Amino acid sequence: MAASKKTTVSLGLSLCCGALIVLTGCGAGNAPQFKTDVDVTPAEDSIGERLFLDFRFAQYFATHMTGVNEPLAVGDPVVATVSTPGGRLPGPFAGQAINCRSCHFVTEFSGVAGAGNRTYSDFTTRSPIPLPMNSFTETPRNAMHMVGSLQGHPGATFLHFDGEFATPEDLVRATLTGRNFGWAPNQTQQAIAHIATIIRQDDGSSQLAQDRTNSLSYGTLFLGKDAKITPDLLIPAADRIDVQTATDEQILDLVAKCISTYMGDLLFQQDEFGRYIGSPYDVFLRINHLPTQPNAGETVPQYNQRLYQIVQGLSNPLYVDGTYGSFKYHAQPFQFGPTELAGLKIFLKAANGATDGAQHAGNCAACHPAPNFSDFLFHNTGVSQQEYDSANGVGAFVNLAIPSLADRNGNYDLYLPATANHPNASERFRREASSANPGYADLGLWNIYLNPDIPNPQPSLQLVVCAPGSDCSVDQGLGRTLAQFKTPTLRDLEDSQPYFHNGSTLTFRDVALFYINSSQLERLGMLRNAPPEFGGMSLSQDDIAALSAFLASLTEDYDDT
Amino acid sequence: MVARRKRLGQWRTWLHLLSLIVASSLCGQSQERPYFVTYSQDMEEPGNLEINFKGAQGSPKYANSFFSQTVEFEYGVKAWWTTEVYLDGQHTSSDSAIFTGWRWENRFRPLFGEHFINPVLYVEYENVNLADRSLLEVTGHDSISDFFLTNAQGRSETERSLELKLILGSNVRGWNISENFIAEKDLNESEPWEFGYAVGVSRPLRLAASAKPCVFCRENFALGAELYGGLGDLNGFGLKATSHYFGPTIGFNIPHGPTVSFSPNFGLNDNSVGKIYRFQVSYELQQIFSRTRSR
Repeated sequence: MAASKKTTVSLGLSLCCGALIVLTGCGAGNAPQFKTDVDVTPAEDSIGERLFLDFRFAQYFATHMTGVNEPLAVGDPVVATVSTPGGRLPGPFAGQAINCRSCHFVTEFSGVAGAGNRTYSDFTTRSPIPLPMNSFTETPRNAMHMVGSLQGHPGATFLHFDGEFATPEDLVRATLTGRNFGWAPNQTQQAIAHIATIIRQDDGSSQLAQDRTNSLSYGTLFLGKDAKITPDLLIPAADRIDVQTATDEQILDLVAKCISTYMGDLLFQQDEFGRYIGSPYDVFLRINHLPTQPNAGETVPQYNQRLYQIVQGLSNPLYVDGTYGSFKYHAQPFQFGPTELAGLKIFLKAANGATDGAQHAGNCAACHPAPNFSDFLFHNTGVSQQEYDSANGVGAFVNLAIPSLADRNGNYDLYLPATANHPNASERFRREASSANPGYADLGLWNIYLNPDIPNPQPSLQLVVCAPGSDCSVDQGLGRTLAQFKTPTLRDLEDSQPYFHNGSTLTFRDVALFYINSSQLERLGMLRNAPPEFGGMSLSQDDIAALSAFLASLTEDYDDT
Repeated sequence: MVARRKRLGQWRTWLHLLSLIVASSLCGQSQERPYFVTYSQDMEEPGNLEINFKGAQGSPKYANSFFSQTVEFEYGVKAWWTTEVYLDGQHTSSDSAIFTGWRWENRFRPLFGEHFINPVLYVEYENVNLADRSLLEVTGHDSISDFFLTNAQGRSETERSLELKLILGSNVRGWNISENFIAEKDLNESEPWEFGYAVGVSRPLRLAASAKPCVFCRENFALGAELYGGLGDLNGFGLKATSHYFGPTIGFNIPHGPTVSFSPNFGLNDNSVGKIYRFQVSYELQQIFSRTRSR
């Protein structure tokens, strides 16, 4: 009997201990932390939006102001009108000077025929700049839409089409003190001093300050001690500065941090776990219980291959129609039907030894993998070659003389972009191709990679360009960067046309036609620095309608809310 | 003398048989129902502590397979009041093993004695994150998509909810029939009340005990079945976009030992996980506190 009791107690204790061991073991897991949406918007986000919209950092304001808090008597003509597919429209910032929003619109043209909402981009192929500089009257490239550009993803961050910036702070600093704001490469210190002056002397009296930051001045907000500062505008203690005693650089750093925080919050619609929810495509995945993101332990390419297998095997999917939603800002129906599904299959499919365009395989996901529809890396799709050949004749780009690394860096002014160290650089390989200047071309990443004046992105670029398996034996792989540009996301493309780094296409049909032609060039061996991904592309005219329908199904009602 | 001894022997035999019947009937009262989701009207004996380990293994379509573990401590406070604490954890393949939360439940039996239908009221507070895979109940629009969250994503949001159940149980000719009606409210967010159900039927393989003590006797085994699922929420009550499961169950009450149960559950629609294998081991410590006091 006593033995039985002992057995009972020991059994119970064993079970209890076993259970506790299991649960203790459970707690020892090392699941990574996942960044999710925060319910409270950081103060730097709200202040960043005001800074993003503030036009007083522009060189035009510096040279035309009567006082930091006084409006301009005459606005910069560059913002007086905005070029749209429907013609020139009155600029939303007319009477002011250029600000970040001038090239990155959102709802300024909501409902305007021929314009509409934007995902932080403008409507032009290249955006006008305030002052002609180095013979530029426009930005070298199309304004890439900003929404989703800081979306979390595996790997390093690169910003701008050519990867010039490794962090958003770098981008903001360079933009506010650079050509886009009217500052010449040798005016950087002057620009920084002007920005610091604006921040120090701002009194919060502008309408913008009233709307965004409760009429509080930048100085008050940056100091973070005034009782009138509401919690949503209170900068974390570690970031606060006294603008009266801080250096100009410290002020610029905080300005850059605020705007960067704001930029980081520009994301396409997601749930609290970072899963996309806004487009008909997203709804299609959800209602059919298809995976919307890679599983734990799964890479993005593996997820895309699995997704392809899954959609190939779908026998009787639920399709998305108007019962699942509708667009507020787009005239098209909210749908994902059989045509869109066919387009998705083409999008995901990789051709096997393609010798022609008959395999209905876009291999698009090789560079535009779901769910972000960008690998955030660089590829040469042949856009620069097409532009150059259009200006200089078929085959001209293949024969364009391009210097070696030593030649290029040894003759900086002859080849590379203008910087503070080389304000008179010709920038000839970061220009639109032109028959008048056959030496002009846009070689994209080639301008940045191993550029001694642009050190910050180099470590990350080196990892990308010379990734395992890449041949970097010649010039550390510089030749492989030729005409490569950063892959944009394909989400909500309708709100960011024209497409490509030069804005050379306006419709999905034109984009698909471009890829049909460019991959054909690759198969014929006529595409310079052809991307290996084109080996998996086999498209024909028959695929255009489905692919276009699928791209349209990635549309959502982005409106910055 | 021989006759007297014979009569005494017969009397002893009857006494022995009687004691066996009493013992087996007591054993029958404390026999665990082989349910995993459904609650029967049975309450824990006052002063007894039952420790229960529940496991569930599933391989949701398009998601990583998981193995969830739940440890349950059930204590009989009064004959009419049973309280339980659950600790939940899970391991997902290619992901991690994590603790997912805890629950505290209380069951109250308002009517004493045995009735045709025996109601029990159930109140539970849950503090469980969204990585939980225990599937101790299915409510609202729970679906297979919930399993697509990685552990890191799931544990980033903890759901604090109140769960109410009306448990109805009947014993009819050895059959136990239990029905649970579930209402759950997320206390964190302004989400509507969610509803669910669970129904279980079970019966020992034999009602009468064997004359001799034995382990693998039929009366130590119980067979049954469970059906459970969601019923939508206050904004849309019904079966639309809900998941449902059905599964046979088998329980084995090892005499003087633990009870072991197993059940394969089958998803009944596309919203459900295809198969979930459940098992549990429970062991009851009788009069746990008086035992401690006596020492």
